[in-house]
Amino acid sequence: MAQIEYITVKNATRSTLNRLRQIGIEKAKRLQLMKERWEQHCYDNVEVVHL
Amino acid sequence: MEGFVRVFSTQQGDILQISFSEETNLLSKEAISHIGDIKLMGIELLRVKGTNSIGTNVLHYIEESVSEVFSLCSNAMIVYYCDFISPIPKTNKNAMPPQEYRSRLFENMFRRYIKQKRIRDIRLSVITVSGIDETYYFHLIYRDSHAMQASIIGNDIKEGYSK
Repeated sequence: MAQIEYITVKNATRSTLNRLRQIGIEKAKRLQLMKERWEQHCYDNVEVVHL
Repeated sequence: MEGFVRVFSTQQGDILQISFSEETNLLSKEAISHIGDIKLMGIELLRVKGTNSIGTNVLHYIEESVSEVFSLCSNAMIVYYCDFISPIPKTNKNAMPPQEYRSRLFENMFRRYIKQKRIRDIRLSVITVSGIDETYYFHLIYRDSHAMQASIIGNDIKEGYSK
């Protein structure tokens, strides 16, 4: 059995695609909110690993 | 398992954050009830500062963070939805869509990591949902021993998103 498998859904309906787009938009909003908190120095005490 | 957050900075001064938390938005309630005590963890990767290209040490750090989830929790599974909104820095307009780029990148990272570490019992499912002019990508990473639960999740996404 392969360690990577592919599952494909083709011809998804418009409502499905809208729902997926919505999930992505909500995720982007969450990330944007987090970024704004960083810019407001809310996370200044967080440990940063230097690579 | 509680989620966790890692913040890291690159040699170019960029700062990124990777967070792992329980994922409840992508699946139906029925599927969640059928996967038993599996901890389904989602990943969010945020660029806090900078626009430089991501180097291999960053990719390696992300791989190690994902690996840590499996080390910390024997019944963890990871599911994530590739971001299609944030552009990929320093790519031209005619390059592939950002979500496809990320899906291929994460797939290649998984392939390289399991080869390097000789890991045999962890698998990746790449789930693609497409319409006429747009495509969305989910990835599911799981242990061999959770193949049945992975199949439930894969089918839930497939059926849920093909209605």
